[in-house]
Amino acid sequence: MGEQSNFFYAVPQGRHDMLVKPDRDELARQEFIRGFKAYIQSGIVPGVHAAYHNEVKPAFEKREGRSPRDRHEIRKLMVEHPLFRTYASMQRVSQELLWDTVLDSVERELPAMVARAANSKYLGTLTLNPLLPLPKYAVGVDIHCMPGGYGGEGGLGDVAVGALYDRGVYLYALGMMGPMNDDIGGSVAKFVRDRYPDFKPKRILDLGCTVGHSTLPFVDAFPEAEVHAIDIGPSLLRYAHARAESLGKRVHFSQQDAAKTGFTDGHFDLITSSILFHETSGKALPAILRECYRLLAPGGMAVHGDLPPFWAMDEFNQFMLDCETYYNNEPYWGAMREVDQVKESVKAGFLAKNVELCMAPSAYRSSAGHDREFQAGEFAPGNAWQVLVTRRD
Amino acid sequence: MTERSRPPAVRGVDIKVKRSVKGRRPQFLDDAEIDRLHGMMMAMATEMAVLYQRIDTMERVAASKGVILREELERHVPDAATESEREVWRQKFLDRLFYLYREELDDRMAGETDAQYRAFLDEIAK
Repeated sequence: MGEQSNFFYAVPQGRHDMLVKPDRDELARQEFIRGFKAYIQSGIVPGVHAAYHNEVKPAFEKREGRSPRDRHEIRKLMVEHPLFRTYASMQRVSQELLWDTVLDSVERELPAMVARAANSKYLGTLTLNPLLPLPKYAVGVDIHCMPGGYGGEGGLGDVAVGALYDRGVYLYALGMMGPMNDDIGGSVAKFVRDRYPDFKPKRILDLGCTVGHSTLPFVDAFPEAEVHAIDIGPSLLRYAHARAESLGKRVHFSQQDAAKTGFTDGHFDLITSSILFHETSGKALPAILRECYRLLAPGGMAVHGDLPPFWAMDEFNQFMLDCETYYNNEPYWGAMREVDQVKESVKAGFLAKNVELCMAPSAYRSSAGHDREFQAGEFAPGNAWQVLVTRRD
Repeated sequence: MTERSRPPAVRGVDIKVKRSVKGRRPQFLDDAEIDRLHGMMMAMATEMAVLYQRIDTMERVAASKGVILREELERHVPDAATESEREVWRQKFLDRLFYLYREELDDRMAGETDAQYRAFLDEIAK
C-alpha cells in the first residue's frame, strides 16, 4: 500500500487581474491542502473500497444471503467501519482547511481587489437587486462548507465570495478542470457546436454562473451572441463581472433567481448551467426547468452539464459520492442524482422527442491528453460530462 | 440597480470575511475529541509543509546565488520541475503521516487479527 503511483502536479491556475495572489506561505498551505486532497484519493479511498469489497460486503452476504440493496444500506454498514470513518473525517478536514487557507489570501488582498473591481473596464454590465429574496436551499447552510456561502456579502463593493470560490474550486478540482476552471462550460459549448453546427444563438443565458468560469467559454464559442449570466449573490457577481472584464469578455451579469427570472418569454436561444442542479432543491429544480422552457425561443435549446447520475455507476460508488450530502453541506446532492431529469423536463413542457441525456467529452482532458476513469469521492468526472439537452421546436 | 452608479469612494469599507461554516458539523468518530484532533493534526501538518517549503526555497535560492537575501527569496518563483519535486515530497509526507492507517490496512488485507497476535505471543512464550 505504501507506494505512490498516481500523484501528479496539476497545471498552475491561469492568472487574471482578479485572482488572489497568495504570498509564498499561503501558496505553500494551499498547495499542501491540494496535495492532501489528492492523497486522500490515491492513498485512502482505495482502502475504503477494499474494506467494503473484501470485508463488509462478504460479511453481509454471508449473514443475510444477499448483497446490500442500495447506497443507503451500504452507508449503514460503512459508517461503522474505522477505515471509512477516517476517510470521511479527513475529507471534511481537507475541505475546511482548503477554504481557510484561501481566506488568508482573500482577507489580505481584499481592499486591493475591491478597488480593482470598482475600476475595471465595462464591456459588459452588472445589475444587482438587493431586494431579491435569496432561496432557502442556497443560503440555509454554507454549501460545500464554503464560509459565508454563495449569498454572503461582507459589505458594499465586497468581492470576497467570488475571490474565495475562484481559487478554492481550482484547488478542490485538483486542477482537473483546467487552468481557468472552465472545463464544464468549455466541454458543453464544444458539444453544442459540434452537434449542431448550424445553430447560431443570438442570446445565451448561463444559470447559477458563480464567478462566470463556465460562462466565458460560451463567449468564445459564440462570438456573435449576447451572453447573460445570473446568480444570487452580490459579492459573487461583482467578482464575476470584474473577472470577465479583466479577461476581455463581454458578459451581462445580473442578480436573479433561476427559477423566476425577469427576462421575457422566448428571450434566449441557448440556456446553459454547469453542475447547478445539485445545489438547488426538489421544488426548485422543476421550477428551473419550467423557467428554461418559458425563456427559450422557438428552435432554442437548454444544455445542462453535470457529473454522472446514480444509475450510471454501481451502488458503492453511489454511496461514496453521496458522502457529499452528509458531510459537505450539499443537502440536495444525493436526492438530485435520483431525479429522472428526462421525465422532469417533459413535465416542464418540453416534448419527449426533444429531451435527451448525452455525454460531452471533456475538452480540457482531451486537449491535455489525460485519460481517466470516473472515481467517486472527487470532483472531476471521467473523460466526459453528462449533458441534459432540452430543445423547443 | 447597477454597481456602476455607486461612487467608488464608499467601496471596501468595513468588509468582514466569515471563517466559520453555517451547517452543523457531523461527528465522524465515537469520541468527538478525536474528530477535533484530526483537524488540529492536519492544521499542524499544513504548517509543517509551510516550513518545509520556506526552507526548500532558501536552499534553492542560496545554491543559485551563493548568498541568502530576503528580497531574493520573495522574488523567487519555482519552475515546473521544482513544483513536481515538491508534489512528490508532499505525497511521501502524507504517506508517512498516515502510516498507522496503512499498517492497519495491510493487516486487514493479510487477514491478521488481534487474537492471532495474542496466540503467537502465547506460543512463543511457551
